[in-house]
Amino acid sequence: MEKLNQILNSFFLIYGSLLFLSYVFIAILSSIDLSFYVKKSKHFRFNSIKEYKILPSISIIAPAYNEEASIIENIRSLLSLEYPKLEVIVVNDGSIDNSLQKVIDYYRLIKVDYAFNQTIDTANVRGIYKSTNAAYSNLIYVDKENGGKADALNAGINIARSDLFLAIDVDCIIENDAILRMVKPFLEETKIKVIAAGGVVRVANSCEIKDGRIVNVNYPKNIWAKFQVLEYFRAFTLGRMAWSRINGLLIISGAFGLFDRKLALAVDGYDKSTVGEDFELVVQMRKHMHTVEKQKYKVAFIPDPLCWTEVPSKIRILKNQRNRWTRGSIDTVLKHKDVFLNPKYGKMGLISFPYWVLFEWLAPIIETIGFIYFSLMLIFASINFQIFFILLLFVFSFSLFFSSYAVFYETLVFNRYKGYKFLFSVLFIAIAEMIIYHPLNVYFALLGNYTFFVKKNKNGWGKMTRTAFDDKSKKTKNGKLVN
Amino acid sequence: MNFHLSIYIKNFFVTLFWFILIFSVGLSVYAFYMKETEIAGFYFKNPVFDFVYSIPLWVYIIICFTFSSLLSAFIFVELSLYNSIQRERFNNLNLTYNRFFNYVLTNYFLNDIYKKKEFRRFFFKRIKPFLKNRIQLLSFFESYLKIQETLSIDLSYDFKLLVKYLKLTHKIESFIYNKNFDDKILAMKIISYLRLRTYNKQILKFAQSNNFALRTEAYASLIRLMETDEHLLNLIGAKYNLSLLDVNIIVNAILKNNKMNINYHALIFSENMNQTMIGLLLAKYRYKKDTTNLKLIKNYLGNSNLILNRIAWDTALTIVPEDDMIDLIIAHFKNEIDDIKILILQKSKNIASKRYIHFIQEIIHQQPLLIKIEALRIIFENDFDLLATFANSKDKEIEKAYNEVSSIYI
Repeated sequence: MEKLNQILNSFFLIYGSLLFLSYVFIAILSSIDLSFYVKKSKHFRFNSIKEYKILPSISIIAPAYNEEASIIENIRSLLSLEYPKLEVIVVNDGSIDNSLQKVIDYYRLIKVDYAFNQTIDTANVRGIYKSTNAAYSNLIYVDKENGGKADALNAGINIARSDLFLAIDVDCIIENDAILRMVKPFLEETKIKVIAAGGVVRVANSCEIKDGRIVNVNYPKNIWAKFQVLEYFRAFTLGRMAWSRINGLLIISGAFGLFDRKLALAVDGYDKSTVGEDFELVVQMRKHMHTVEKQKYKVAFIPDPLCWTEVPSKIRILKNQRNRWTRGSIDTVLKHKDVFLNPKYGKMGLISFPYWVLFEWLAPIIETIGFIYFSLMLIFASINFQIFFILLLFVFSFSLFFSSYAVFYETLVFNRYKGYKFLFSVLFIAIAEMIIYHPLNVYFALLGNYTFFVKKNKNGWGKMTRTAFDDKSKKTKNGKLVN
Repeated sequence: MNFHLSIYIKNFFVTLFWFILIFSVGLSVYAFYMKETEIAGFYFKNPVFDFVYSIPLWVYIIICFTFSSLLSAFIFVELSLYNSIQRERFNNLNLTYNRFFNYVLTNYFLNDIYKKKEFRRFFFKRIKPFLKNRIQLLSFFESYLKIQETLSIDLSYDFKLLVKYLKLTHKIESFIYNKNFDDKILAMKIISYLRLRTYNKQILKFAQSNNFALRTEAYASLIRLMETDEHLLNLIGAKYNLSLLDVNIIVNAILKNNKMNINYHALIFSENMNQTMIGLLLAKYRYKKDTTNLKLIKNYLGNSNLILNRIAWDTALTIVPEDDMIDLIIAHFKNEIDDIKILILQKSKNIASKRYIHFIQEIIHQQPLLIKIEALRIIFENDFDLLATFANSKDKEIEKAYNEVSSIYI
């Protein structure tokens, strides 16, 4: 028994040390990359990109399901994005509300025989519409039968004729110059092919929005949204930036990502059988580069906050979302288990994929086992109380340090949330997170594992309710097409 | 000099702060592990020695990490607060100064009244008190750059007078020798727009830097500084490959620098593909009436480098006379990749020659859908009756393409 205790103690100590060490590396790498990015962009006029002679063309693909309340505004916002070679493809994924007719009427659309190849298999496309108004000549509205978000994106990829495509959630708020910033990494590289680029997604809850643009950034009033603001700081400003620095980024947010269209077609687009289609696509594209194209490549990341989205403000919705994220993550990890520690896949095989398995998927499970184990040890007094509490204190203090570091970078580089009130509030949230939000997140992740392995529900989307940004109307999203 | 000194003093204090902090943490870790310590006459008796003595070394290390984490968290929160306030203040000041300088400088550059010496001197005296600190200086220079980049007229003479009177040259110098590369970029921009050639050597050094952001701006600055080619472009891209961003920035800088006479023949002839790309783009945008290099340009059609091939086609189809264009297309079309075929068809949609339409008719059946669409568009533009013959095609793709062309373009 004592031998077993020793083994378990050593295991948790080594696992914990590796986890904390990885966070330290993330903090260092992201600092280096952020500092370089800020300096190189400081005097660069992104608007000048519009005058460039060689630019890739871009198609925005925005799947929409029952967005009647805001679809007109959302499309107008997409059409106003700055980029010279842009087409906007809005895919109506079999909405059961009146959004189709509303868009047809407002944008004076007529059904056209727009030719495309069904390279990726999708649900039936019922019709493609274009505007008779020359001002909207770059708008393509696709009406198709419901097939889910991945299916709608795939339909958009089939129809798009551009070099790159920007996959977004139609109800996200995109910064005006977002595309100009996103396309820059595709132009910057000399020997490496950039296959995709992601941008920072920020929380739009409680923000003031006018004409589809954020005019005033406010720290959310809702506590769950507050937790997520801090979580997004750490995930985007530190985590993804660091992974991008070593070209190990495995995930680009489904709400906002720019991809090479031909490559996406080559890997058959988004996987409809998984709920983690954004993660799956990046892994597929990276594998394709290693095995088929055998060319040096990069998945880039832009630290500027370019996309604002509404996050769940109710615990039930949050539970569904995290459950779904966990299932999507497990599904992709299991589908690509050949990548794990496989040198053929370079950094992805040796660093980022194993990290994802060990510290993203398995972390909640190991944490729970550790919690139960040490609780039992405490009950049976088989543990040194003093050392136990010292370790616990270290975990809490390190967590506080990491959160404060993320906040520090946010204020240093972007400073979108202002004032001491925000700082004190976020400090309080960072402390509360350790005892409220983090255990809940672990619980949701465990539920995700349970749903995936025991209930065998791999791709159910559950329900998600979102409040329209202007708070004038509420809309409900059922079924497959959410977030 | 004062500006230099203030930067050095600031950097010294920042470094000193971090040194003292790290040294104190290290000293504390040591002191609290010992029963008693004497350093430089200071005697320290460890009050928690009994506790430290009773725990293993690794636990002591964990305790130290815990304190470091808490201390770091405290420092980062304080710094965040400081940043937040400072940035807010900076942004507000910056906005105010930007508006102010945009207004006064635009007025100074464009109002004829300032062509007179006495008014100019009066203006110089009025603006001088607003150029004392870094925020003001940055706003001042950024405003100048913004105005210069917006207007196509050369404002360097007027701004040079201003810089000379206000004795700001050394401040620009301090930017270019600053360790921060964002300041170097700003300095290069100002220097190049002001045509100050005394810093060419330093900018040339930056053009060889492994920092691509610095390098790109150095290229653009050198181009703005040159009045004749002086084989400058042979230097660009010699050590490091050029990115598409570099190519775009260089071409735009040349196109905006009307004085500069480029030996673009040498560029097109270069073995360096990036230089060739620049040469081809210049041929298209600046020397489109000059067909002497057409033979050279044609050599790049079908090049294995897709971007180069695309630019070569784009350029060739822009400058070649219509009759030659048909021959060129007929000779190369079948061997090109689909993207290039689409480009060729898009660029040649105004050719009304029957020979060309006949060629299109011939090749249409073997091409993929998107090319069929472009081909039918050309037929639609030139021979509506011929388009109607495709209406009942049994080829599914032609049917689709026909439907799109007849549906959208009519």
